[in-house]
Amino acid sequence: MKLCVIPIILIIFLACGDNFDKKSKLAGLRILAISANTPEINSAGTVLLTPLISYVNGASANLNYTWEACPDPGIDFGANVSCDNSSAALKLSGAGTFSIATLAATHNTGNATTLSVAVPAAAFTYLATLNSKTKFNGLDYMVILKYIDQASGVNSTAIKMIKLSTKTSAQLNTNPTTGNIQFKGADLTSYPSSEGDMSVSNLSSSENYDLDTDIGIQTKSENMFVSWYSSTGKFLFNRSKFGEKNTFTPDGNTGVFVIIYRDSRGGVTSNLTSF
Amino acid sequence: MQLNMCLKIKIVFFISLIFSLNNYAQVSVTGILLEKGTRKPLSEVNIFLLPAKLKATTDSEGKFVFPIVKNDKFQIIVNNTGYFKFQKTFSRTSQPLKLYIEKEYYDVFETVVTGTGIKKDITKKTLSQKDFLKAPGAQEDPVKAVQNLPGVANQSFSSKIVVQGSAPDDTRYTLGGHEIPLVFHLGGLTSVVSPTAIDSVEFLSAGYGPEYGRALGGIINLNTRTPKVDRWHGEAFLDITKTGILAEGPINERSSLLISGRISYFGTILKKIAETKDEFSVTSAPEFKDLYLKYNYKISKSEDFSLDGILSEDTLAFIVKESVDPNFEGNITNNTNFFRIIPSYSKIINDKNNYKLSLGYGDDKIKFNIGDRYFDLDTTTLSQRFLWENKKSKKLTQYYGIDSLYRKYRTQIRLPNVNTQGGIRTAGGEETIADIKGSYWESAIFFRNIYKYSDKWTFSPNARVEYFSSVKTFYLMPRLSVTYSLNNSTDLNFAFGQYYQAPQNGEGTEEFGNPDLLSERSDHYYLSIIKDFRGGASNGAQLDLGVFYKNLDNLIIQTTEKRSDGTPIRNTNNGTGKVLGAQLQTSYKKGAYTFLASYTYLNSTRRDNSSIQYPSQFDQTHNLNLIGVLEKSRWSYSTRLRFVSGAPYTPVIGSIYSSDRDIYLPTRGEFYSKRFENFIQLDFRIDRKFVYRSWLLSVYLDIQNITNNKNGQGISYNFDYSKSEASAGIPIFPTIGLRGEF
Repeated sequence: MKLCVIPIILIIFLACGDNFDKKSKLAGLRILAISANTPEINSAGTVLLTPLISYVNGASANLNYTWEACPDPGIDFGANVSCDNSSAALKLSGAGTFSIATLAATHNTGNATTLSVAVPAAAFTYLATLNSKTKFNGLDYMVILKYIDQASGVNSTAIKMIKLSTKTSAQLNTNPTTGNIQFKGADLTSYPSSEGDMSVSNLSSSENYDLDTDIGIQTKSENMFVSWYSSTGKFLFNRSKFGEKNTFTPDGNTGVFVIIYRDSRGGVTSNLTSF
Repeated sequence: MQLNMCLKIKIVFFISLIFSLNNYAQVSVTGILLEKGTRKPLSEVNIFLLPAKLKATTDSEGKFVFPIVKNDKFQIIVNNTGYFKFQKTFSRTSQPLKLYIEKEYYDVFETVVTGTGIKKDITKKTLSQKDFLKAPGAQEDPVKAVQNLPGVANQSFSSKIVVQGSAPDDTRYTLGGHEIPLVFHLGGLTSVVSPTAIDSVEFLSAGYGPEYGRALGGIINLNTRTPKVDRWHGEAFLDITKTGILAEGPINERSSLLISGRISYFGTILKKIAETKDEFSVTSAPEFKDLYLKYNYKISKSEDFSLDGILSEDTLAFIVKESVDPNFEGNITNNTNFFRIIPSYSKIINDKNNYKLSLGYGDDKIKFNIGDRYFDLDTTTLSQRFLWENKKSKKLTQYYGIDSLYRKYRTQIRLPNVNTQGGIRTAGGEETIADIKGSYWESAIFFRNIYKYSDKWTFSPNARVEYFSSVKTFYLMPRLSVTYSLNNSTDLNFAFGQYYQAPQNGEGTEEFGNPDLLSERSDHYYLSIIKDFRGGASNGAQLDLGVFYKNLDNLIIQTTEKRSDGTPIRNTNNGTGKVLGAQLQTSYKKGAYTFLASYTYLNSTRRDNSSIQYPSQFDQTHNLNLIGVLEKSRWSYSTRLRFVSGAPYTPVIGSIYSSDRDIYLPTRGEFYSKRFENFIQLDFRIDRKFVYRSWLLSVYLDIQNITNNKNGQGISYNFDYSKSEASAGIPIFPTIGLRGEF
């Protein structure tokens, strides 16, 4: 039995349910990340979004996908993830299909069809009406992407924020970069046969950026972290910070490994290795 | 003359010789009679000496004298009510005797059903030290023992008391009437003052008088003890989580002092738990320490001065290597400390007038860090209370008072914005970074009348007028109570009161909340019947049955609305609520057995933005506590059975993945539309007191949840909220404690 006799402050942070699969375990339909070619923009234009999806159990499944986009309705403050209340001039939408079979070689895991999101000029007009802090820090232009398995109805929904701001082009955020997945200090070239440390080579360092706050402009540093996934075996942690290693315990001899590297303000990059 | 003088000397010598010979045959026996264990002198007690059949009575200092005792050996017998019979043979001695007689019961569990007769607040329940020290399941904690009273919700992990379906922040905690920021250490482990330094805990749930304000729900007031003045006393105690000492006694004829301190070692236990987990490690064990001091000075027959001082500190530090929300990972440290100094002066002017003036001064500091994020709160509080009692006539007593509070604060914050609508926390998003300094004051004048119109009717029309500077508003709050005595043992009571509570915890600031907020309001109605079936005897039954209704208005709720420039409004006053309930408290005592039952029926609802009504998060429909106590000589056995309806919660009906934050955002279902399992807990406690000549040793074993019921009062979800399971509550939890006192 789980012993949860701990103060409330700990309870906030601890999940007492250890019986669940870890987040790093790939099996069902999942959107693992959506990366934008330009995570932050200062003028209207097209942003290319690349979803990284996984459906290990969904061999040869055909997926329908829909997407819509609008300014963030205030999710941090409790608003539902929806564009229903957004004005039509600020909204975009699209749809399509995607066959998981195209990812069969990598255990049904990999990049799906890229979406073109033409952020309208009206969104920047709207930005101009907002308070100075939002203008400087940026308005989140939210893209809601949903995949549905045509046969089973299994679905997965994710959101991606494109930051609209008034910063100069040089100040705009860019995606971080990453190297290869490594096992015990060397590039991962075969499925691990024993437990060992995993890491990622050539991770780009955090960048500094300015943030307009209630105490003025503050220079902050990005909080870089790696998310780990595998279809077999088990990672000790779902996430690790820049430079930190993770421990992997293998199970079997095949599987797909995915790492996603984020900069905590919309920049995303990923790497995938499959055996 | 020479001859006469010589003769006189001879006569005196002769008489002296006769007397001295006589004294050798017949000595006086003197001594002192003391209570065994406490060394308390016992006065007005008859002492018999056999076989001479002599009787002596102890004086106010417990001393006795048998002027002439002829026997070489004699027997002394003391047979005093409430004490074991003392019988012992002594050899003749000129040394004073020290007799110790042993009490049959040292601490008798007492029931707390409100008595009949005139009282200021008809809903007030008072737990004396004897009540809470032996309450099963409370681990000798005065505030935890309050949970045995009707109207108090069951809270497994909480540092706050939920009263009659109100929110936890709607309860106000005071020490001698002065606000203190918290009553529990480490999220509910134990209260912040040593239990044996507390004389009583007052709990007011509804319709309370004009002396109290700034709380929509209830009041918990700790009254500390006056230090003993007969001699110096000491006490040391120890249980599995903490240890402490207490000393008290006279400094001189006019003044006395009590000082107590405690320190915990709970963190060592938590560290052991932490070692089994990969996700976090404890770097600095969660610990607390507290110090309490009380000084009393008798200025004159009619004037008293006292000084209360309390210092409390809780610390905690750990590393969360992995959390569901990456915003809450890293080094986490928390330090909460506060102190209060409360001088008070009271004066009896004449038999009709007296007053008491007290001040409170102190600092509260909270330092909370998560990685490079922080929340630092530093407040300085100055409070003042004044109460004048004026007995106008046999029928009318009036009270006038002032109750003020000034607070200066500084909050430095860098934390992600979090929304908790429906009790479900969203992922931490954009950060709020701010440094806020400010101050506010709240000052009230109040007026109470107790008018005994006849033997049957007593009226108490009262009022409180208060100004809240944070909302720049005066409030007039009428209060009323009426008692109708059906007979000597039965009272019917009615109470009404209106209460306002200013926005708190930064709700009214621009950075965290909404500066346009108004105060929240609550109207309380309470009707009760109190019946004492004992007919003046100590055995028998008592009953207190009441119904209550609370109308809540202008409640502060979170909102998703934004202003035209996009800034979030965060909070509005658009919440309303209703609380309807009934509560019963009854006790029955027969000889060594005591039974106590308290039951609360509750229907607490809320409505946001005038939309659909939903149950309050604290709506526990049925709350039943059954307590049984058997006291046998030095042993005491007590048990408590608690049944509480599962509290409502909001189900998560889905989730959406946030690609940028690597977290699933929960989709809320209908607010509070599901309930946790019912809570059933059986507690058992054994106390054994060992009485030595000059000290007492108490040992207790308190076992919470003896049947090891899971009592899940929370839900754990997997990473994407697609799976869930009930979180386990407190498992079987034995506590052993020792207390030595002299």
